[in-house]
Amino acid sequence: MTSTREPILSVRGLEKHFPIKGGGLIKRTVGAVRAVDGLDLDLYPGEVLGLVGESGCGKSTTGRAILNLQPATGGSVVFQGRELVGLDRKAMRPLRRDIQIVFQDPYASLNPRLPVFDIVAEPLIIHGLTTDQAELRERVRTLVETVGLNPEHTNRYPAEFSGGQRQRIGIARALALEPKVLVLDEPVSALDVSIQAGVINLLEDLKERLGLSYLFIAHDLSVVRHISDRVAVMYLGKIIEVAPRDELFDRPTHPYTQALLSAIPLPDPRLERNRQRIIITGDVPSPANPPSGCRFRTRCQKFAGELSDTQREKCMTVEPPLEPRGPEHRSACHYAEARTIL
Amino acid sequence: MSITTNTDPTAPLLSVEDLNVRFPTEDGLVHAVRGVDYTLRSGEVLGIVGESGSGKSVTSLAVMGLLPASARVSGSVKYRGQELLGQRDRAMSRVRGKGVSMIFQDPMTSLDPVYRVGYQIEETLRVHDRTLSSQAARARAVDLLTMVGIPNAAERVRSYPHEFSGGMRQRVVIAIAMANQPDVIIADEPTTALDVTVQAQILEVLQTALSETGAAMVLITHDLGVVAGIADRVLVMYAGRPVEVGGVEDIYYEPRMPYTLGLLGSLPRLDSSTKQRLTPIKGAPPSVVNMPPGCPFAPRCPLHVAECDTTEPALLDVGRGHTAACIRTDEVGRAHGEAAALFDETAADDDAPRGGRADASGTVGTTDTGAPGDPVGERTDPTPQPGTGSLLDPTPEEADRR
Amino acid sequence: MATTQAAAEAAVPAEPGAPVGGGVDREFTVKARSQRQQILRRFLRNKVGMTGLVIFVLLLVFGFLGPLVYGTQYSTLNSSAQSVPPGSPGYPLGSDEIGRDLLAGLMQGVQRSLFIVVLFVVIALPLGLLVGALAGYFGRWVDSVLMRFVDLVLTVPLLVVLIVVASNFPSSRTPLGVGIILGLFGWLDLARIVRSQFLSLREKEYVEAAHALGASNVRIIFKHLIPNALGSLIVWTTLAAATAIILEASLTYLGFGVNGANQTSLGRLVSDGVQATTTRPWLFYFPGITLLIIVLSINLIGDGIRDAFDPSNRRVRA
Repeated sequence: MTSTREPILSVRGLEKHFPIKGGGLIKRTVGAVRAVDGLDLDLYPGEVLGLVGESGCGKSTTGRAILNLQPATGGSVVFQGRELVGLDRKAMRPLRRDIQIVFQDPYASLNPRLPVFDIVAEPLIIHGLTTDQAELRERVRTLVETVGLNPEHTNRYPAEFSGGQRQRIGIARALALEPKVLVLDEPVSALDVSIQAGVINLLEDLKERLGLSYLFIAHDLSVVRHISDRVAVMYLGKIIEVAPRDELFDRPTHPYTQALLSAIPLPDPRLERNRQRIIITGDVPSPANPPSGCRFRTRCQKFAGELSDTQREKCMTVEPPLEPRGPEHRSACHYAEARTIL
Repeated sequence: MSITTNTDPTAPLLSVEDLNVRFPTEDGLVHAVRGVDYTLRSGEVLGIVGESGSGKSVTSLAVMGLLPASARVSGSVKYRGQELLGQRDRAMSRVRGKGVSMIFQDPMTSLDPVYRVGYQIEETLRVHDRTLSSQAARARAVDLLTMVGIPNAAERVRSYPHEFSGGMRQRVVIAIAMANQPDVIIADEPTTALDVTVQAQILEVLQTALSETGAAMVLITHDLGVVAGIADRVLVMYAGRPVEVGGVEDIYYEPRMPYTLGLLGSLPRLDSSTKQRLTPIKGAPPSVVNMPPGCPFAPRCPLHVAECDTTEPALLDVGRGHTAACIRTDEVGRAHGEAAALFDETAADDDAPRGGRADASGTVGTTDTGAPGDPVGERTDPTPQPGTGSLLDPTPEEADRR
Repeated sequence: MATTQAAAEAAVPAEPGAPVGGGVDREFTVKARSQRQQILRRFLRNKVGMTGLVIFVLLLVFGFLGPLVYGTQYSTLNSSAQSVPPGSPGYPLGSDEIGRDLLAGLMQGVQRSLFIVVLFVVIALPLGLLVGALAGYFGRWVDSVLMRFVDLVLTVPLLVVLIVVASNFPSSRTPLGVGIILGLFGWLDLARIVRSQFLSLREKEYVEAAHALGASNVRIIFKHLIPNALGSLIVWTTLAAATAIILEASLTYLGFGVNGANQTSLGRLVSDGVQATTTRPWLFYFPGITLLIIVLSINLIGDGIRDAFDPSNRRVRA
């Protein structure tokens, strides 16, 4: 049970606010985009934690804030007992060997002017892990083979590889330092389905073989269900529900999770045509000006259709905390109740 | 000439025959669409699915006559029996909007940012009906916006596109597409740029709009879930050609082309709790420049035999209006939609060289990343096996660190 | 889901009528070819750029090998052949009023002008690159301080700055001096170009990836940013080189450039010849045309390089 284990990465009250500058000569700060606004999560050794949400919910910013690529403006990130928030680049550098990131866009995340060898060797050179050319070649070769590419082609440039192959190069680069935790920021969402499957399988194999832990950030819940052990759902900078995989997909308790699951089309004509669909209205509100109380209430099907006025009062004034709904299952809704969607 | 005088009421709504599109590039002629045939019956939703580069978007741009001038288009596109290919722009624009209208993926680029949305709808209405008064046009614009679910439509007609969110903009685009009650709507990835909850809204709006106007739709998408929900028939494209066409249930439950089967097998399922491994298709789609003879899917196909490399198979009838471009459709049929029965998961990896299917001399070969055992495929190097210690042997200095 | 690739595909419908570029490129990329090879290939196929390059090479031969073959020195005075017209025996392009051979003068002038250009580039390129890189990469106050300085200098026309400096340092009126002065004041627009390039490049995911690996600023600037800004650097260099030649000529014409006995440059020749346009037109027209050809050839090369680096500029030949 995860609860008895020590988390390898523990995030508490993480905040990342981007200032909004006013116009004019003196750029005063007139507000803040609260991209991540008080987020808690734990990642246990050897587990895959899926972090899902729609665009603009702050899931990618969370990944970058954990890695100090976009320094957090508040809260705490404890990695293997060390606080990461507030560390400067120099102090952060040795820790980067243990926590690495794979980016979404395989066309943008590889420097087009470097051959693959240089890209994969870069982390080894930066951290001075090998000064011997022969050893460096051997290690790059092993890494490239690990991700299922032909090591003969490391003298080629990224442009010569397909999207899936480039994503493998990005994974090889992240693995070079033998990290313990990988933040995977939408690693397959830019790939075509037939190719995406190969990369997902690779990630699963690597996790088993190298004993990695993944923070798997994605908007595609099908992929998340496939790869994750636990899943956290984000809405407007906060986690609104977190549960073990099957628990979350089979018994979602937060209206947003329910609507999200219900909105995803299934590639099965009979099932898809006979589903009961919850369609929520509107778009995600601006994170610069989130609704008071529960952030989801403006689109909530429950708030709109089921609750009485007195019950709504609570939604509008009190922000619901994450409360237990079952074993390791927590959600942030005043009127949470499990529903079967799929 | 008006579109009504030249049309034949008995002809199919939209028929595309042997459509070919070639783009001259500095690398040679890119044959993006290589012989697409389909007919669209009235009231029907035809889903065109395919991965990027399969030519699905180019096909519909060719139908609408919206390709750049450098594109070489041949074949035939008939709207109610009237040939559209080779029409002058002016004649085409009469068909566009009134007979056939199009919805693009990105609502921001299909709306003009400097005009109010109401004006853009009214303009579309008046292009096809000069006699329409401005009050009537305004009233109709409000009706249309209401139909696509925009609240306070009477006020929102005065808004500019940037004042709308992405989902709302796509609703406006749908309203414009529906303005003149076209018979055919071509929707090119209409929900790809949107979030799933908004996608669900837009798909509902599209379905409502279709049922209210009785229009037929060609829906182009890469999302097999979206197609499963609203298409009546499905056309699967690969390397610029349809490789399987049939009723939606036949395609999903009894695919007869290995590519379709592989595509379905490589999808993770939201509704499945079993942790089954996915079955990817090995390699990558071929380049459509100087394609070698034979079936374009052959290098990735688990059922590949020597005969596959001689000629490209035509669409063969496998019953109930279901056709598949494969010489081994019977074997595929025996899998009954179970990709794992045909595709060997461990062999499948994405490592063919880009666009180099002919030179399968093992230059970019497979090094299996997968599970133990199974020496499969054109493996060029032994795979590090699990359980044989760390894959990346640590240097002593690193060992200390642990 | 394959949203990004789908987006690439949908880039075509977004602008019907536009040449097939960017988005489709990714879809139908054909042969494996490294970027350098592609750029080189595109340049070699570019008729305009190649014409410029051929002319430029011929000018190099003319300026540097010409004097060795031709033998006659520009400094040789000949009182018996003053102001002879072109075609006179021993003076293919004629001579000036003190009997110096114009062809030899042109050779020396081309040589000196090219020397000035090289000197200008050697000085201006690193300066502009350094200032632009610092401002663009570090942003904040570094950017503000450096760019306000650049703005300040740019408010004064460059020619005026050059005149002020040259008139205060009369000993600078040699090709060496003029080249240095041009270099010291010619990097400002480059700094702006590099800054804007860096501002966009530093947001790229591969730069973020380098940060995630713990790469140092120096490494990121030299390994990831400069190589990707190379295209615009090269284009600037060629275009600025052409400008430098014209500036040198203007400066010399106004009397603040290359001056002194037996010192010459194309600007100097033009400036001398302009007084004799009616009486001895060859003294003005030959140097003038040569100047024009140099500038034109460098500009053509620059255009070719720009097209080679920027495939979105590429026209599809139907």
